[in-house]
Amino acid sequence: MADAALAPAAARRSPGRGLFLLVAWRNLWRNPRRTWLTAGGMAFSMWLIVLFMSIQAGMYNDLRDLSARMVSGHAQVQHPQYLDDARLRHVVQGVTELTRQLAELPAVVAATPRAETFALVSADQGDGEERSFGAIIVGVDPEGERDVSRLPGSLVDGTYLTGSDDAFVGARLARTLGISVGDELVVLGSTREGGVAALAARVGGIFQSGLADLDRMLLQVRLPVLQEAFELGDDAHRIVLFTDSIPAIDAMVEEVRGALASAGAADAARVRPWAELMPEVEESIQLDATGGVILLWTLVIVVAFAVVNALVMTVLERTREFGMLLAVGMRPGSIMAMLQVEALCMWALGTAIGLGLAVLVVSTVGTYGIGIPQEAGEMLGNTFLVPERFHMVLDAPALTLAPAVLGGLTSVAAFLVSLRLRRIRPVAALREVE
Amino acid sequence: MKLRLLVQLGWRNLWRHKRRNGILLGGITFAVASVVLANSFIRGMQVQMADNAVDLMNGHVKILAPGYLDDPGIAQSFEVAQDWQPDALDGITPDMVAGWASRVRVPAVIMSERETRGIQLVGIDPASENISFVGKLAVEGEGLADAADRRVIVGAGLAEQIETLVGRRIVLITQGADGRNREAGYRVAGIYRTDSSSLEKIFVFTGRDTVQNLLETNVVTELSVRVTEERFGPPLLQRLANVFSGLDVMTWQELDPTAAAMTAIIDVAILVYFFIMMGALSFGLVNSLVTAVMERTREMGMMRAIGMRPRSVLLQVVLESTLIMGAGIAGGVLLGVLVYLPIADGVDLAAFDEALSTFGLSNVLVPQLIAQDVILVVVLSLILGFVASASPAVRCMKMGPLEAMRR
Repeated sequence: MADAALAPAAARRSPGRGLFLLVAWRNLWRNPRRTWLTAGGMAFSMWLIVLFMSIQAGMYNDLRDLSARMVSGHAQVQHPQYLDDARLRHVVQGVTELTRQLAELPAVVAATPRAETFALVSADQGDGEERSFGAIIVGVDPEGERDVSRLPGSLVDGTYLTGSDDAFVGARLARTLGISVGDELVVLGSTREGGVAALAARVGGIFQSGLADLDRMLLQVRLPVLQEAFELGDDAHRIVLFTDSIPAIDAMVEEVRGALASAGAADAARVRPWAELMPEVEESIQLDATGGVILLWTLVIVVAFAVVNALVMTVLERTREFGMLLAVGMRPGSIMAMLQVEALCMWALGTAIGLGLAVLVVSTVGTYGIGIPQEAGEMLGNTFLVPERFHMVLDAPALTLAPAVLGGLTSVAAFLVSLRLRRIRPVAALREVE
Repeated sequence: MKLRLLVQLGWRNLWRHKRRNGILLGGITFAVASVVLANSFIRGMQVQMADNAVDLMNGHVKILAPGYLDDPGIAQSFEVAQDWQPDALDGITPDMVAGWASRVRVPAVIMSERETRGIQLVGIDPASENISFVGKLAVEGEGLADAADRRVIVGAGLAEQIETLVGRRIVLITQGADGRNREAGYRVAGIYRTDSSSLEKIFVFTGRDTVQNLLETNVVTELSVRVTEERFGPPLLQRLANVFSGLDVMTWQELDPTAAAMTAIIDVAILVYFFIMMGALSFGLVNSLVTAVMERTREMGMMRAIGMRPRSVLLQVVLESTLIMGAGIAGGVLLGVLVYLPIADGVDLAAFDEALSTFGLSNVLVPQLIAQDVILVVVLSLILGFVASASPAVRCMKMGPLEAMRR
């Protein structure tokens, strides 16, 4: 004790930080098996969680992108009531000019108008018989559509709306109507004013999207053809907008909203982001993500038990050592701090391994993508969109959430375990037999 | 050495480290309880998906004319005798069959004064629809009285679209077997609501005879049979296939491949969840067991020196692991059941309404605690405890008594 009194005050109070870290690190390797097992448990759980969340994030991205490209676009400009109440009379007026204006906005990569209504489609069977079927008829701009939609690419026969009176028909609808490329069909419906709307078209092409509903219900014609038959003038129901990527949607929506307001069209037209257009896809994603979060917490808690146990064992085994440290003048607070550092070193080791392995897997397998067999879509009855390859995406929450939660729990565990140190009496501890 | 003595020794050994083994026990309990609960939720979803698929007018087995699925229409149809009964079939008893219903289902166009929409017109006998969702519909106004009822019931979603109300008239247009369109006016008897807004927009119901009269025919397009238990499905399918040769006799899995694929995926999901949890748990388990063995090296050496067989040493380590695992499993199952009981009637998931209905699920998820699942968890966990003790036990056995005592 006399020597200690001669030492500089700072050194007596606590060892330096570097020394702390060094001693803690060495302490870990006094029982390498335990350290590896504990860090391994952490690494295993973090690896799984990051992988799981990356798979989810990748799937969501693919799903969002695919449904945007097949059906809805990244956002749409619609009549304010059209989303809840899709009626022919709820139109956006003067779409030619409005589409051109919107397409000039910096965030908008592509914009194209669509008009649509429900109608009865009939086809002559050649023997005096006629078949008819209810369908959704969509008027589109073929050039604009090619930029934004995957539907033109789903062509299986004929061409995509090349002739002025061409129709682009879903494969199941074509089969039900008994028509093929070159056949005539007649569309009957009611105009905006309630009169009879009729148009005759020639089947120019047939598509198979893999979505049973689209293939059975959908038929496209050129926009002016539909506008004339249904007395829509220069009006349409949707202006479909695309931007660079899913995360950029919000910024684009803001920009478009501003543009609509300055054009004085804010009351007559409203911009709807993707999530509002396809709430069921977004909700499926939320539902699935909730499952991921539950998995994260249960896994982390199971591992936390193991961490606490490892720390308890460490502390109990070293009662004598701690007694000695106390006897030579180390403060209980310093010992607690050392245990914290030890626990966090273990956590850092587990995190490095877990995240390292996860990043390795995600960056090799995930970025290249895993091919999904065509049969998967058929097995699911073509009710959902199934991408050709599925990717994994490492995003910030996946990489930070699990380590942060586990780090926090580890730190709390180390603190609780080290509370026991306050009860250690140096003399009694030194006498204890190991 | 007697097993009983070894169990006793193992039990006492566990109590030598109350805190360590207590925490380990807590970990096992938590992991097992989470697996039991997760299983009950996943199973609940599965049962609900399968039920809904059967409910959606599929039944467990359905008879269709060949080609109906590709080109649904009255041209693809067949005749069923008025007094036909599935439970009169050879080997099928009445208690196996929950009910059956024949229907005429054709694509049609519905017109109100204001709007026109494409729908599925389904002619039913209301008395036999207790086997499908049609019998459970909440109807505002009146339901259909019998198979000859000449009124229609439409979904709330469709009624809103075409702006019609109870008591109003609508016009239905559909195609006869000759390819000619038939058209007639009907009164709206009632408006029904379901969990799924898309169903409400697709199906319009009226009496079966009414649709047959409109189409000037006496055929039906489908016949569904529902069994009381899933296992009666295959034998029934077999019998029906013999009776209705030339027609398509299909299971609900074939009719609704989406639901069938999802329920199949769920069987795998249960195992995956188990192995993830137990994988995480095993690190802590092995850790504790290794420590328990290592700190007793001397003691074990002494036991060996006074004549304990290596096999008994091995057995003892395995027993200790199994004991704590057994206690953890018992606690976990108990905890899982205790949490399950108050939520056994169902959990409200209204926040995910639209997503759930896309998968054919309702807002209230009723978890299903199935004995087989619990048994599977118990058995697999015990095997895990056994495997986890293997490496420390073998290490312990291999050590010579002198060497161990010198430590």
